[in-house]
Amino acid sequence: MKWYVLRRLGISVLTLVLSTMVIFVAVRLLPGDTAQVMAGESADAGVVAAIRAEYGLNQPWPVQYLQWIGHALRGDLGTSAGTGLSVAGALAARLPVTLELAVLAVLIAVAIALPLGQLAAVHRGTARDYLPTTGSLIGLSVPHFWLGLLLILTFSVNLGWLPASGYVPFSQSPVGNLSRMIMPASVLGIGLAAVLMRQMRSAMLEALGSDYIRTARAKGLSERVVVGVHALRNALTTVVTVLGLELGALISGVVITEQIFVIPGLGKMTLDSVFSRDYTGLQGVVLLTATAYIVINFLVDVTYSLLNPRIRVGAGAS
Amino acid sequence: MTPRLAVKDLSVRFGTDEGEILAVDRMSFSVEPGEVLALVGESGCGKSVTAMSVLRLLPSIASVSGSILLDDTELTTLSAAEMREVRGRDISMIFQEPMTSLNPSFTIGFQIGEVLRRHEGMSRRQARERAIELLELVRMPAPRSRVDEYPHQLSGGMRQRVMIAMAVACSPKVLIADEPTTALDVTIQAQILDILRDLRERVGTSIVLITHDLGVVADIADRVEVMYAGHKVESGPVDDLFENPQHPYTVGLLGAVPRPDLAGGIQVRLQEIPGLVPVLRSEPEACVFAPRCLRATTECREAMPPLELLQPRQHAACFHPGSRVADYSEGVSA
Repeated sequence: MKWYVLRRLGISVLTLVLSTMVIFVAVRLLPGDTAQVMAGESADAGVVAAIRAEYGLNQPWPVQYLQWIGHALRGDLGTSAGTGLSVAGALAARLPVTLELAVLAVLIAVAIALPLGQLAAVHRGTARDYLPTTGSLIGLSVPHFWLGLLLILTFSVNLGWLPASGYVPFSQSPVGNLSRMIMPASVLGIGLAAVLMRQMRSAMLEALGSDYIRTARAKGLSERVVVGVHALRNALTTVVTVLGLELGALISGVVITEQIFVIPGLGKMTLDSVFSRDYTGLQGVVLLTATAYIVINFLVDVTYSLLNPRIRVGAGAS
Repeated sequence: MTPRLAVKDLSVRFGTDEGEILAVDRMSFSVEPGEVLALVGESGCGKSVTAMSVLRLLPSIASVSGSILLDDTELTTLSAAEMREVRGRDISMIFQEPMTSLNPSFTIGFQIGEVLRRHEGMSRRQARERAIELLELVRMPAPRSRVDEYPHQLSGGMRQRVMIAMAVACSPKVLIADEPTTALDVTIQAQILDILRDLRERVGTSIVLITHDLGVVADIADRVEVMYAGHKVESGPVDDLFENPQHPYTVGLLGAVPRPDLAGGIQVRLQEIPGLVPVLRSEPEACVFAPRCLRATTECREAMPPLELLQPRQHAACFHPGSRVADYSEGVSA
């Protein structure tokens, strides 16, 4: 187990280093010029050059990269060219917002997907299978932005139950916070639930068809234990992996959803940075996103090995 | 003596996309307390289906008719909840595939203990202690440390021991062993059979042994039921049946087994039985073995031979019984 975790950790760090390079280059390949944007459309060449020099934009890329990494390791992600504020500070302010959104979305997704997937598998080929399966197909097909607008139209404009947009910190007003977060979290959660439900269904079907389920029944165990303990434990192994991978897709969903519901999270910051050609800001937010993705994958691998003893020992022996 | 388990006129049909399949047709057999009964036949002749239907573990596409009596309890009419009380406590089962029959996500101690917690109301701690004893009983090396291991850490033979430990945890009245040694190598086979024999003596469990391996039958069984295409074709005490088989299918099965004990040169070549077990769609009107049988005559193709007492303790369903060896090299008479 220890070796397995260490090895996974090593791979994660390597991935992170490679992704910083990709981020750095990709941001610079974007069309547009930060110095020009900062100086304004009609600024003269001298001002633009001065800004370049001030932000080190006239240095060769490898130098810029090493400077960026060097600072990043000390927790300094630079100053946003757009806002003039510390990027690390901006990220720290926005991270909890996005994190809350993501956690709520996953909770909603899991709460919908696991019971429905299990139900569909146990009652395969009946209405209790077809209804959730069809529902998940709809959930998969509906784009985030459309579902978001639909929810706003229904619950804010027509029914007037929920505020259409904005953000209130949970510490300030839990009700205000949740009433604003429930719609964006549902938008993300429903999309995720659709994927998870299908995975859950097929994983449960596979588990239920296996020999050890026959053994469990031959022991005289109740169907509740056979399905809820013996099959579920094995099905979860697959579902946890998929959930981890889907969290990456969730991040891209966050960008759009935060834009629709005007939530000041990382997704909105990503888009704002792109529009303002804010290299430092964009680099920072993408770096954080990539790190989150890598950490999630690491945690998924570890969880997977906890659920599946074969992996744990197999890797430990090597 | 009243039989421990009495199966009477058991028929099993499967509704499939290609129509109905008759897997078992009016099969009857019984097992006395402490007796080892072998159900023998080729793959696909209905042995496993018979066993699974006793525990009512067949999928819902199967329809089962007939009577299954455990002592005085009719199992076919029990409710699902009552049947769960029987499974694992009164009748338990060992399966052919030890590699896949244990849940990979739980320790073997948990899986053995589960039966005890379910049927004997033991606590987790008690069940674990008892599981260690049971592992000792099935001669698992180092049971105290093995109890916390996962199935993938064990060899096939050890997994089958775990399956047996699980099956005998509640000292069942009947143990159904479906090809328990088929997936194991020969030395392990002998040990597993030894364990089963030991259990029969110690606990008095009746064993229904399903196998195609006549060596195993000779080793452990008291009586044999030979099945072919869902039908019983011959039955009798193991010695009589091996000595003097009556049905040509039994003769053929015995002819396909190497017999080093007959090294005198009586049997030079192993004989195979050409053809395959047929899949029945409805109740047959003629002998099911006739298409593969050298003795078959018009009579065999027109009527179903009844199961008759042919030797003092031996029944066979054949119009032309006898133990003479058929010579397939001359071809099946059409």
